[in-house]
This record gives sequence, structure tokens and C-alpha cells, in this order.
Amino acid sequence: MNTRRILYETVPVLILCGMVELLAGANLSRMESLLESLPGLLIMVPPMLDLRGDINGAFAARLSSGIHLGVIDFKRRGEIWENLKAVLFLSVVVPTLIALFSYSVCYLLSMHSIALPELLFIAVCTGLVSSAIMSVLSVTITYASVSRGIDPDNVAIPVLATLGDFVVVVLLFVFAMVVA
Amino acid sequence: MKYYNARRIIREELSVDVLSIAIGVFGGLLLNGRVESFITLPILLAYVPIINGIGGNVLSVFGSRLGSALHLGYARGFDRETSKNMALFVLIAIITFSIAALVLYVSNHVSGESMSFRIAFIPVLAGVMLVGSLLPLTVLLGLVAYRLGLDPDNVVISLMTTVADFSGIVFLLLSMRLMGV
Repeated sequence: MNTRRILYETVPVLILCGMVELLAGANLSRMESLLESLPGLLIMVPPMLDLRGDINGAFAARLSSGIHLGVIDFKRRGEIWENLKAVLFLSVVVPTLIALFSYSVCYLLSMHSIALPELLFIAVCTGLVSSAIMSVLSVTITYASVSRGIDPDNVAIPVLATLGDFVVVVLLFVFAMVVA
Repeated sequence: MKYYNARRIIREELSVDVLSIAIGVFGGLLLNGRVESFITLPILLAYVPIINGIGGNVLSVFGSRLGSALHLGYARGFDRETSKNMALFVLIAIITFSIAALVLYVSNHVSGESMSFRIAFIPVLAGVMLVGSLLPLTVLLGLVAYRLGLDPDNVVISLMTTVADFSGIVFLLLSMRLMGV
């Protein structure tokens, strides 16, 4: 364990991501509350944000482990494709579940919600497009850190989590506008 | 023969994702509004995303490193090496939260409001307690996942960020009490 290297690589990124979240937080939460004013989306927004972090965090963690193990490199792409297949599948199935879940909760609590097909459209489109964007970013950021001699475990997930929040909120907004 | 298999990744991740969504939604519905009502100063409520955000990031980096270490056979249990790693990540949390709090403190004073140093210190205390208490849990989850034959990368980080989202506000309340606010 190289203490100094871990400190040098993690702390600047963690601080930078914290600052971005701090600055963007106000705007993001304003956009979120605008989104949540669409009936039914109130329940859907937080899990959609969690989901992006879960799927892409795990993908980035696997990329890093794969590189350390020597089973993933950026020239032979088979292992990366296998990972991407799983990411895409999860990015369709889990948003579908989130939409169904949100709709059921609204129904059970007799809260007003937009129609189920509209919820499904917003969730699945956001899931698919965000997973495409975030997957490209995951591979790029991991590749960039490896080629600079930085351990991807130290930097990839915080950067991706910070960018992912933006991407998801903006996409939810865009697809909600399409529906509304 | 490929090392990674899409089916396996989906099988291992799906259950964890569904669990973390269910916890997130029900937790959000049942708990948050009620816990938040205990926080009397609005500025402290604004700290919650910072505590959860930075806390989640620190734990994710630790979880990602743990995943690689388990794959490579470096991490075997709660040994000396693991303890040193956990201590290092507590240090990382102290540094990161302190700098974030300092920026908040300074920007608050520049904008003409005057936040007391005690208030500014609360998120540092909450964040460091959050990270400190969840690091051993991260190691435990990683070891259990590995022993069960699961890829720790697929399950540990998602579960830990879900737990961190919950615990952030609890540690915020605790540090308010400790600082007598």
C-alpha cells in the first residue's frame, strides 16, 4: 500500500467533486423540484439517480478490477462488450421496475400520477440514453487515468457519480418535457 | 473463455439494485420528512447532500479498491493491511470534509452572513463519523460477498451508497447534539 500515492490521487478529486456538487446542488435541486411537480415523478426521481450510480459505479469498479487483473485492456474489447451488455440490459429493466413501482405507490397512496406509459417512456429513455453516455464516459475516464499512471479505483467512481447526477436530471427533464 | 459474463453480472446486480431502490423509495417516503423535522436550522439541512455526496464518494473509492484487492488476493480479512487502509480513508475523509467546510465557511462570510465556526464544523464531524462507521461494514460486505462467490464489485458499492444515504442524516443529528446546537 502506497499511502502517499492514494492520498495524492484521491483527495483532489474528492474535493473537486464535492465542490461541483456544492455549486451545482442548488440548481440541481431546483430542477429536481420542478420535475417532482409533475405528478408521479416525485417518487421516481430519487431512485433514478441512485440507479445510475449503482449500475455505473459497479461497471467502473469492474473495469478497474479487470485492469488490475490484466483481463481487461483497451485493445481487446471482448470483456468490455460483455460488461456493456449487462449495463444496457440493467438500464432498461431497472427503470421499467422503477416506473411500475412509482405508479403502484401513487395508486396505493391515491396520489395523482401521469399515465403509466408516460412514466415508462420517461424512465426507460432516461435509463437507456444515460447508460450510453455514462458508459462511454466510464471507459474514457478509466482509460485516461490508466494512461496517466493513475489507479482508476482512486478516481473513476467519484467523477462518474458527479457527472451522472447531471446527466440523469437533465435527461429526465428533457423526456418529461417531451411527454408534457 | 471470458472472465466477465453478462448473465452473471445481471443476476448479481439486479437483486441489489431492486433492494436499494425499494429501500430508497420507502425510506424516502416514511423516514425523511420525519427526521428532517428535527433539524431546526435550515442551513444544516443543506449539509445533507454534501455529507451524503462526499461520504458516498469516499466509501465508493474504498469499495472499488477493496473489490480489486479481493480479486487480486491482497485482502483476506480484518488484518493489519485492512486496518491501515481504513485508517487512511478516515484521514482522507477528515481532509476532504474539512476543506469543504472551510470553503462553505469562507463563502458564507464573503456573502455577508456570519456562520459560527461551530456550525461549520458540524458536517465535518458528521461526515467523518459516517465514513468511520461504514468502513468496517464495507469490508465485512466485501468479504461476505467474496466468500459467497459473488463479485464484490457488483454488490458492495451499491449497498454502501444506499446505507450512506440513510445514515448521513442520522449522523448529522448526532453531531448537532454533540456540538450542542
